[in-house]
Amino acid sequence: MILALAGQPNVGKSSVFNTLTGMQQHVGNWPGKTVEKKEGLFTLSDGRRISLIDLPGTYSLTSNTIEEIITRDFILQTRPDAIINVVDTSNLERNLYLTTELLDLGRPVVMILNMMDLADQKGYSIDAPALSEALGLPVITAVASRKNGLNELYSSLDNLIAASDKHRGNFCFSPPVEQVIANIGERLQHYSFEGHPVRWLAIKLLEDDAQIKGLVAATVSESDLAALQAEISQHFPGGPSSLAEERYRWINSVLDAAVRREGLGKISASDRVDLVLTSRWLGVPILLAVLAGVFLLIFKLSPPLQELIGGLFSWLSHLIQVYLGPVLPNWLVRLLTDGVLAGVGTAMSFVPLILITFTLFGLLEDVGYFARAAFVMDRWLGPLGLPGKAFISLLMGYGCNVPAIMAARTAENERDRLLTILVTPLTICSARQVVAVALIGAFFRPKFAPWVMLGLYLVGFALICLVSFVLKNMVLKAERNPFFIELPMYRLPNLTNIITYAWHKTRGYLQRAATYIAAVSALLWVLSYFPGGSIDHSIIGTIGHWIEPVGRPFGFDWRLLVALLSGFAAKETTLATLGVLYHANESSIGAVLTSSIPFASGLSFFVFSMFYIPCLVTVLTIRQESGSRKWTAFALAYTLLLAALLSLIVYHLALALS
Amino acid sequence: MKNVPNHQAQTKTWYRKLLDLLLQKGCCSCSEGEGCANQDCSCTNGNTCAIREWLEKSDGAITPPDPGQPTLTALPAGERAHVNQLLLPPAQKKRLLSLGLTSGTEVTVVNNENGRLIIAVRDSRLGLSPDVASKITYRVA
Repeated sequence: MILALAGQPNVGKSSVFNTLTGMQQHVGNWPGKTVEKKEGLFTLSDGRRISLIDLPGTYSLTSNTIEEIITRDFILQTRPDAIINVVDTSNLERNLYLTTELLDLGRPVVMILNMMDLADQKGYSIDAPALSEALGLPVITAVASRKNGLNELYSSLDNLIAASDKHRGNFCFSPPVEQVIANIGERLQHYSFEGHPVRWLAIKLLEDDAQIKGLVAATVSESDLAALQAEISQHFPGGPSSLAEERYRWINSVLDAAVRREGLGKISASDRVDLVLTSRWLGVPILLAVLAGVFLLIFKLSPPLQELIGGLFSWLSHLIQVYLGPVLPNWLVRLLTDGVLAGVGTAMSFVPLILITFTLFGLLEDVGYFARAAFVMDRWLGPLGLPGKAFISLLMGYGCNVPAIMAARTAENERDRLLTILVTPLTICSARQVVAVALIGAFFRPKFAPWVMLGLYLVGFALICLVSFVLKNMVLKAERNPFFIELPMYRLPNLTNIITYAWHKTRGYLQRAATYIAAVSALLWVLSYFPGGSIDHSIIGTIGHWIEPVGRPFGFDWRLLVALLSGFAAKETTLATLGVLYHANESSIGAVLTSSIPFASGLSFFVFSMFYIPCLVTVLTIRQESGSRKWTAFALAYTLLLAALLSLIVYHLALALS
Repeated sequence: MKNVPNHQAQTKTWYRKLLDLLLQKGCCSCSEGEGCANQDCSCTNGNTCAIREWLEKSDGAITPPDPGQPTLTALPAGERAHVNQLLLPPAQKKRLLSLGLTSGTEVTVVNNENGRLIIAVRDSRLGLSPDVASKITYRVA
C-alpha cells in the first residue's frame, strides 16, 4: 500500500515523515531529477506494510517548478492509495489552497493538523470535528514533533483503509465555473490522457497551465481544440485568477465554520523580530555576524574531532604494518597504508566538518532564518542579476558545492538557476578551506593567517560578483525575476529533524569517501610508486615532468602540477598528494612545504588551487543539474581561465616585489 | 512533419544556444510574424501557429500599469489595503495568487523600507522586493 505525504513548504512535513517512519527511510532522487526523494516504511497494528513517499513541499500544483511537476505527476501516475496532506495549523488559510489542488487530482486525502502549538500561540482555536465536516475529509490533530497523536494517526489510517467512502472532500467551484468544467470535460472524455482525471485536465486548461495545454493540443482533434478555446473564451471571462479567488472563497467558508482566528493580521512577536533582523541597516551586519558565528563554531568544533579521526587512521595503518607487514609484500602494505588508508583518512577527517556545517545550516533553516537571509541579501544580489534565493545556494557552497548546486533548484526559472549553478563553484568549499588553511599556514606568518583567509573569502565573493555581472550583461533584455519569499513564523528548532537532515547529507559524503576516494587514492599511489619504486621514477612523475612546461609561467614545478591534477578527483586530495610527493605526513607538511617551495610559487599555487575547476563530483552535479554538457564545459573553462589569470598575476607580482 | 526547422535547431552552435537560453529566445516567434503565418512551427511537433500562439498565450503581454492606481510601494508600515491587480508575468502572478494575493484580499504592511516590503496576507507573511511591490495595485480599505 502506498501513501503520499504532501504539504506546503515550512509545515513540518519532514518531522511527520521522520516520526512515522523512524529511521526506516531511503533517501534518493526522483528518477532523472535531482530533487530529493524520501521513501519510508512503517507497519500498521495488523501487520500491513505501508510505503510512504515524501513529496516535495509546494505551495500549489502549477507546472511552473520542477517540484510541482514531480508532485502532481507522482499522484497522477502512481495513484497512491491516499494522500496525507500535512498542514500548518497556524497558517491554515494558505495551506488549504494546496488541499483544494490535491482534491482536484481525485485521490482520497487525509489531513494532519501540524504545529497546533504555534496556532495556540497565535490565538487560533480550531474545532477539529467541525473542520473535518466542512472539508469532507478525515482530520488528525498531531504535533508530530512531540510524537503525541501518532497513535491517532495510525488508527485513522486504519479506518481510512477500511472505510468505503473515499474522502474526496467537499471542494467545488461556483456553479457557472463547474458548468464550464463539465462542458470541457465532455469534450475531453472521448480521448485518453494517460488516465488523468478529465475534471482535473479541464481545471488546468482554465488555469492556463502550459504543460496541460500542450498535452491537450497534442491529443485532441483540431475542431475539438477550437471548440475548447471558444468555450473558454466565451464562458470563462474571469481568467485564471478567478479560479484562485474561488478556491480561497471556499477555504474561507470552511474556516468560518471551524476556526476562530483572533489577532489575524496583527503585528506579532515574530514580526517585531523581523523589524530588526531584516532592517535596512541591521539586516546585513546581523547576517554577517550570524555567519561569522557559524564559521567560528565550525572551526572551533571540528579540529579536535578531525585529529581524533586522524589518530584512528594512523593507529589502523600501524596495525596493518605490525600484523600484515611480515606476511604481505612490502608494496602491498604500503599501498594499503600510504595509499588507501591515508587517502580515506584524509577524506574521513572532513566528516566532522560536514556534519557540523549541515547541522548549523539545518538549524538556521529550521528556525526560519534562511528565508530572512535570502530576503536581506536580495537587496545586494539584485544589482548583480542574482536572485535572493541564490544566496542560500552560495552559502551552502561554503560547506560543499554539491548540495549548493542542487539547492539552486529552488530558483524561479531556468536563467536564475543556471546563473546560480555557474557561480557556485567560486565559493570556497570546506575541502578547499582545509587546503587553504594548510597552505596559509605554510606560507604566511601566523599573525597574518586570519587576514589572508578573510582576503580569500573577499576575493572569492568579488569574483562571484564579477562573473554574475558579466553573465548578466550577456542577458541584455531578460529582466531579473521579481523576487518574493514566504517568511515563516520563527519557531523553536526541532533537533531530531536537524540531526536527521545533517546525517543524511553526511552519509552521502561517507559513501563517496569510502568507495570513490579509496579507489582514487589507491590508483594514485600505484601511479606514484610503479614502475620505479619511488615518485621520481613513477608514471605520475613522468607525466608531471612531461607537462612541467605548462606550469612554468605560474611558477609550478611538476609536483605542484600533479597535486592540482589529483585535486580534481577531490579537493582535499591536493594536500594528501603534496604529502606523498614531498615525503611528508599530516603533521610535518607545513614545514616541508615552507622549506621546499619558493614563496611566489606557493602563493600562486594557493590562488590557483582555490579557484580552478571544481572537483569531479561537483562537475558531475553541474552536468546533471544544468542538463547540458556545454554549460558544464563552460563552467570548467571559465573557472580554469580565471584561476590561471589570477595566479599568473599573483606569481609575477610576488616575484617583482620580492 | 517537416524536418527543416529541426535540422536548423540541431546545427545551431552551442554558443548560439547558450545565447538563446540566456536571452530566453524560443525557436518560433509567431507573434513577431517571422514568416510563419500558417506554416508549421519549428519546435512544437508540427503545431500550427494558431495552436502555438494559444500555447504561448500565458507568456504573453502583461497588463500595463494604470498610472492612476497606487501600488503597495506607497504604503507605510501599519497600513491596510485591499489588493487590486497583480501586474506581473503569468508565472509569478500564479504563484502570488496561490500564496493568497487574490483580488480584494486585505493585506497589512508590516514593514516598508524603500519599497522593500513585508506584508501580512491571510495568515502568513511575505517578503516582497521593490520590483514586486511596485506591481501590486491596491484599493483603500
